[in-house]
Amino acid sequence: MHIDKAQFPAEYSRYIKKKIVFLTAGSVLLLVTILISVCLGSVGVPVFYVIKALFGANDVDKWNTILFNIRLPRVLTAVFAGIGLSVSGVAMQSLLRNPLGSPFTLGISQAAAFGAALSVMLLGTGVMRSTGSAAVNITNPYLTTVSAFIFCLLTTGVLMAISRLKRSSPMAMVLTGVALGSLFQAGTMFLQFFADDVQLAAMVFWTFGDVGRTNWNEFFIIMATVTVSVIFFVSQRWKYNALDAGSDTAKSLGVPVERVGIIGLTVSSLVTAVIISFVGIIGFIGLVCPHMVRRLIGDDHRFLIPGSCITGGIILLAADTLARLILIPHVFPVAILTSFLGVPVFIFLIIRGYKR
Amino acid sequence: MRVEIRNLSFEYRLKQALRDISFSVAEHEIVAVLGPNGAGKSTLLKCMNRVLDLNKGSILVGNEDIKSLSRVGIARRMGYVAQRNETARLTAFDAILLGRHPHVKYGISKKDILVCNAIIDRLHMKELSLRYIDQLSGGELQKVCIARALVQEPSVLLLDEPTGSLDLKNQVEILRLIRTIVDGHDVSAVMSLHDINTAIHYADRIVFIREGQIHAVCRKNEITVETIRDVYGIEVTLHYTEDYPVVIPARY
Repeated sequence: MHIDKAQFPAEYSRYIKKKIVFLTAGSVLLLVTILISVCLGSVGVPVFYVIKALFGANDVDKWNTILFNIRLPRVLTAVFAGIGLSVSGVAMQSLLRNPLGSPFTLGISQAAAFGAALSVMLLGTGVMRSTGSAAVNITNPYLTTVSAFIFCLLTTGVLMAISRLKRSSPMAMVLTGVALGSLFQAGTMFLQFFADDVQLAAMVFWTFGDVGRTNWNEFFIIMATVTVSVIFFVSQRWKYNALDAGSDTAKSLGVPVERVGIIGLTVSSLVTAVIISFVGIIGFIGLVCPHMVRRLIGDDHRFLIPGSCITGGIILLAADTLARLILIPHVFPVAILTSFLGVPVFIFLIIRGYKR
Repeated sequence: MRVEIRNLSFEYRLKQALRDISFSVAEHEIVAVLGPNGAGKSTLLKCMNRVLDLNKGSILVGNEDIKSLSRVGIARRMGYVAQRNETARLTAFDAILLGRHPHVKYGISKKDILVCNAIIDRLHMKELSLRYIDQLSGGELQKVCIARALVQEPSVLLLDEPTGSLDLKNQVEILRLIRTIVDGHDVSAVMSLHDINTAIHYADRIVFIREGQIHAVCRKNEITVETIRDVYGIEVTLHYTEDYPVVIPARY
């Protein structure tokens, strides 16, 4: 076919530029939020000191301890957990062709809660302590994390096995996920029924997602996983756009639909598993952030994926900062706030009749 | 490009959908596939570019068996327009740009955008190119999907009821364009249609399918009242204008 009039469409360039401006503004906002969050807390640290300290000129010991041992790991964990949850939500929504796709839909969150409860119960990793902010401490956080992670993987594995075995539709996967979710929920309730007070407190406490649990090492694990997955999802952007046109059309455009689906869901389950295992269950970020971005800049995955990352980071971080500030000196678990934030937005989406 | 279908059979889980289909499409030829609802027209088109995997038989594009080609390989040779199309909040331009996917390695290039823009101009779609496709009418969306198949620069076009929801002007425009493309390039087209007169007017040959089998393959002036009665079970009369017939169903 000939390119009769070879001219570059100026309007399209303008349209693309607008999206890029939006993403750039979002990134700047994220950086500003990070800076503000690091400063705020029960002990305020001046902004100019934070900036100086980040460039190596750190001369006030008290502030350094707060900054580098407490605030920064927490703030950065919030950002990357937000990015990871949000980006896996986008992928699940696209791959399952279901606007409700999120870590909850596939039962992954429930599996993590069950894994944690199991480790508290059987391995005795939960003990009551009355120190400062957290009344209940998990004595061996790694064991709990590993146990939660194993159950996340198990759920992912079962979903993959079923989808491969029956070559099932996305719809079947959602239903399987919901079923598995309620199975694990029942399992958790079963354990809670037989738990003593301390164990019960530890189990419940674990499910309150809280980004303050991580130290630097754990943060680096989360960061690495999230970064790799974001790169992966960005590389899939055109394939996901093709999937939006329907699976027959996507196949006719050369997209191996089943393989893209299985790999994408595996990656997003893994990211979710890593995040949830370390910080507990944080709802609604994976569901709501992508929908906010869809409303703002549309479903084009070239912009939707980075946009969701940025929004996820900003919202989880903002919610966590708020959670740290409202009950000073107590720290409120962020998961409670994200749901308070999530439900109204979600209901708004329903009322607006948003159609994917 | 020449396409040859040899002894193609396909079955869904319980139902034999296509049985022993053989026909060929020459270069510069448009073949229309006609038949009652559920006869297997859409299934046939989906088998041709391996959206569905055929059970038996083979399909040759040029000299290559499509079983030996990768999905991207098939997509570079064959463009497909589905009967039903799903929407998203994607601009028409980006939806059409998707057709470049089989040719793209790392990211879209300037050439991809130029090809896309040329087709948009050609189909007079400039005004709707930046509208979201979930806000387009059925006919506009269908045009977008046809444009997507065209920017794919295929040698074979597979069109599943390409004019199903288009108004008369757009029908004529699209079919004329397909005719021009097929005549002027090394392209052939297979399209399923419901309107027999449209098929007679724009296609070179017509394949009649009934219950998953080929009933007849005829050139437009070979159509008989009997063929249509056998395929559709209705009485018609044929009226000749120039050298081909116009089919008019009996009123009672």
